[in-house]
Amino acid sequence: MARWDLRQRLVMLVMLFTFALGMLAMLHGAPVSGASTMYTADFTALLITIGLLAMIFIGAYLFPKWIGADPLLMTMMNFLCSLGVLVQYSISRGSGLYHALWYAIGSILMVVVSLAVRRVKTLRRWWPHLAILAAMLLIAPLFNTVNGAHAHIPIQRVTDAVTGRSIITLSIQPSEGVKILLIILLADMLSGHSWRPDSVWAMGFAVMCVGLLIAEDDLGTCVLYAMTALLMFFAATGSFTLLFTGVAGGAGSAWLVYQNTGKFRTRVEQWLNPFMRVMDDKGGVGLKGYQIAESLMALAAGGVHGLGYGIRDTFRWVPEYSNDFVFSVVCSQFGAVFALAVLAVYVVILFRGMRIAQRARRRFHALLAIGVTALIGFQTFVIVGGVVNMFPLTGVTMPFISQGGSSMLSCMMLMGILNGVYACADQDEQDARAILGQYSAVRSTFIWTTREVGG
Amino acid sequence: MKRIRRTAGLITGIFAVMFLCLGGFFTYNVTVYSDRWFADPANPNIIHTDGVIPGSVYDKNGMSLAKSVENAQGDYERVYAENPSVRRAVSQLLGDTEGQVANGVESFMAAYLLGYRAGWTARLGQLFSDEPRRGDNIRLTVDAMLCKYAAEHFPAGKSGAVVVLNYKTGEIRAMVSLPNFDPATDDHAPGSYFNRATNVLYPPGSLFKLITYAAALKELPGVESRTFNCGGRFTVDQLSIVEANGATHGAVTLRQALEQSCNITFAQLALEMGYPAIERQARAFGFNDTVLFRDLVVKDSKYPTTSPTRDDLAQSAYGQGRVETTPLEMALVAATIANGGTMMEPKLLDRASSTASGGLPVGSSVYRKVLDDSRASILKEAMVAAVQVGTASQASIEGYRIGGKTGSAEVSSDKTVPTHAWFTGFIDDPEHPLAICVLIEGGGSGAIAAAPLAQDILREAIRLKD
Amino acid sequence: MTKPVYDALSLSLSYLFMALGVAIVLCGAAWARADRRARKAASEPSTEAVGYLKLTGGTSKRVSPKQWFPVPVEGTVGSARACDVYIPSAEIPGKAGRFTLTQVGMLFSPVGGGSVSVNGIAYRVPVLLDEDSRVEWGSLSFQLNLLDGARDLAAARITPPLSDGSTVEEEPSARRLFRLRRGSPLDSVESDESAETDESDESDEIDYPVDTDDADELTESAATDAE
Repeated sequence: MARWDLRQRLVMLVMLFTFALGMLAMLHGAPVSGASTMYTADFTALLITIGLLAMIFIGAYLFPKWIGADPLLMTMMNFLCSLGVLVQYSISRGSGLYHALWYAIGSILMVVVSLAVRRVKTLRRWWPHLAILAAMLLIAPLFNTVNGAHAHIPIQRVTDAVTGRSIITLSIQPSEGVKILLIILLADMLSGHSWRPDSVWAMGFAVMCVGLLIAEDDLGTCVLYAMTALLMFFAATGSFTLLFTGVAGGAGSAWLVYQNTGKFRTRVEQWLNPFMRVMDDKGGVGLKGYQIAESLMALAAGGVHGLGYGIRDTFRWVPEYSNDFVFSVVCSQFGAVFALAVLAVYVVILFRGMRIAQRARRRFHALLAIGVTALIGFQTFVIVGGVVNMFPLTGVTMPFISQGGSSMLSCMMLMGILNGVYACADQDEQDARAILGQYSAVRSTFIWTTREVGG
Repeated sequence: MKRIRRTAGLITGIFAVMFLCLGGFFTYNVTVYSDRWFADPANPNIIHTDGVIPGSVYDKNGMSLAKSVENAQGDYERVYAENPSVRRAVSQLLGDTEGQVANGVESFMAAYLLGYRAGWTARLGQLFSDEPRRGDNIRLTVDAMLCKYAAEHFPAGKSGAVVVLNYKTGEIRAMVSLPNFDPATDDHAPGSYFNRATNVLYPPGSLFKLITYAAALKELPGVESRTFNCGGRFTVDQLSIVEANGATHGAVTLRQALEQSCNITFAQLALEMGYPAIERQARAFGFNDTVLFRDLVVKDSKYPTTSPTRDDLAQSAYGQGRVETTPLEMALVAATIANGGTMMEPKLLDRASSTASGGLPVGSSVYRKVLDDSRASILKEAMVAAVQVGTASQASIEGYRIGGKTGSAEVSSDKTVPTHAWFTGFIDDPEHPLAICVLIEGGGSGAIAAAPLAQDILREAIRLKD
Repeated sequence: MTKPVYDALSLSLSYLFMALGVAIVLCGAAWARADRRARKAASEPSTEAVGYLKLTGGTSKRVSPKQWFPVPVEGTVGSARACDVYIPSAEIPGKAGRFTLTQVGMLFSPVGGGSVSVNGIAYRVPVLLDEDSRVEWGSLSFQLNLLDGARDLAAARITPPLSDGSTVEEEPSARRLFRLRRGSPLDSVESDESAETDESDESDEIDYPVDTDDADELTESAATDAE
């Protein structure tokens, strides 16, 4: 083991984790509700595990070779995705399979996007089209306000056997697609030549997105987009005034919303006092912030090392346990230490993304990378903060682990953007080095060639 | 480009700080609060026990207070102590799992009773045996017979609470709240689900003078040798302070003022010291503080300092006004004074184990050093004097040095409403290091109603020790 | 598999997962750090100097003749701190121009209204510099020395700079020969009538806001620097 380099070590650790967890999943078999004393092994889980192991290997060794991806980023992402697939599997077999499917499709999309980043130079002639597409995607859920907070368009609903609640297992969330468009468009606008006119367009586009989201009452995603756009503006202009104005404006509008909207105010009260008993509509007594309270109780049940994978299914009492509160599920099954480690993995991805942004040679690429990293960072921060009751809950999902095709696909595409920027940065560096003549073969070719022509 | 790079670095720093805060918040909350979250009766992990049979609860002598027994249908139901008097006496202490009694042992220590705290090897061992899984059994520090005695001798028809604890170790020997209910027959009076010892706030009345005294010893040097004049009536601004039964104490030292429970002296002290000094001392004892004990949940005692009037300041010196506390807190005050100024953490859990008698005892821990030794000993002597020659004389037990303080807390400006009768005190004896607090709602005078009851209970406690 | 056996296995493995989680994080962080160090050691060309400017004429309070200013593969030069070649002198405008190493040599593109002369000739358009070129702002004159490979390139320069203000003409054939890869960032010679320019080439350039407002901001900061 000592002779292995860091990449090999990390890949081995992730593979070991996936293998062990996958074996457990296989031995447990498809989750059955109710008290059962026998588990039948499910070989689908074995296939899924093999697929996950293959993805880890491909991501660490083959993708970097074929498309110039960043192996560290890929490995960390694959770790999270493996965890996600297997956690979803512990929720239900179908959920696990769907998640694996989205993972596979997402990987393909990631490759496509990363190649696209290297080819596409500017999107200027596509601005109006893309902006309209974004607006359409954002407006679409307004016509379908079921479970309005998420702007979900549910496709399949099942009744959870244990709790009797209705859970969405397949849905589309159009606003996830807008994430990518937002970042790409903003990056392009902000890296344009004549800064002033383009930035007006950029600001207008950002405001439009935010406004539509407020209109839909999807405050979580709205905050996310606003913060990402703010950070991109800050990166592009370097102006602290802009940053502080933006933050102050955000705080001010949050206060305004608190005064007015019932939903936000409810959320704040639930944040402050989740365990308080209140009378609910049916005349019974319930917990004021029962979502948060259930989540906290799941955290407490997990303790340090967790209840164990697949042992208890009391996490099903946590509302939205497969998308928003999946972090609680992870805590309850794997424990607080592991949950902190997962959080740290997200931080490593963040740092890596920022590093890629710093290595980018073109402004457009740098802004892209900063936008992507900021988005993933904020999303993780906001959802974990809501789940552990650090601030009021908002309706965003956990990247890579939450159930939801659109969430998974959009996160993979964001990773694709990062990989694309990384590959470009790499390639550009190699070009520069080649020009400098640090590779003697190229240098001599150069000299020979120039002399030929000049002579 | 350089600018973008620098900004990217800055943003990385911002995110690092954000996530560090998140991680720290998460760790802190899970470490400190997870016990309480888990103990909430709405916890599905407690409600759906997954076939685990809850463990038994024993008192310190091994008497079974609650255990799970298989009934005719093959289900397990909870069976309580045989003696109905014992059952009723520990009813609020034991609590239930449906959330009717807040934070009783059955729900607050459910993590033990349902096996969540079992060690790894124990759990594995259980998994491989054929028996159905059981949680851990817990042994409490309370003495059920003492609780029974206290509940039986409480004045009939009155509500209130009794707390007896060992001030050297913090172990709670008795915690009784009246009215109580019978968990076996579900016979309950209105309000019987409240644990008045820990969960209800009352004005402490003259008991608070102990704290004012402690504050004065610190803030006013030489106050021990001063003489105060009690003329029977003292007017502050709009408030006219009188003594109990219209008494006049004349010229008193501070110790005599405590012995005789002189309101005027303490009011004058408060006016001299001001809110901050008294609040500091009260906070040291646990007022205005979020108290998080490991084994139980206590409502926080309050000493409000926001009123600008001197009337309120004067009143607060003798525990009236808006000062509120719980009987457990007052017992802790007496315990701290008796223990040389060190407050031990109140302890309910003696040991938890998977067998009936095994397990390692849980250790005692110091909660806080509230007073320095000299002040503690001064207060101790004052309390002993109060029993020997002062208002608490009804609590004296021959052959033992008893210290105590009585209180009659007014609850209304209407003089016809009876006051709450308080007594808090201790036995100054290394063989019986017990502190006690008795509260009788509407019991009248502390000296007449509460002190004799405390005397009886302490006698019984001494007897039971052997 | 019976439930108790599975439960036992799962419980035991929960400790393993905990340890693995921590190990993965630490390993990932270590790799990131090692990667960063390796990059720094490999010295990215964009920050590595391909040449340097040396003060050869004129005096300035803050620029000493002993000071060498490294010139990167591409970067801006000026007296604003944000510039890649930061020369703290009041005589130099905030953003004076941009250096770009191209296949045909070190290209210097002046910016804005400043006047800069190269080898004695005032230019307002991009000009190719070669080894030992002299760049002058006001009373200060700097000599450009190129290093190694860059020197070879500069020596292979084909077209001398024109003094009538017309743009640098580039041999289309040379361009085709030298082009390593389409859309290379170093392929950034600005020319009005470059034959292959289409929209896609414009953002190949790693650009810097050239807006006059921006230049004002830079000039302002340069002025405060110089005080």
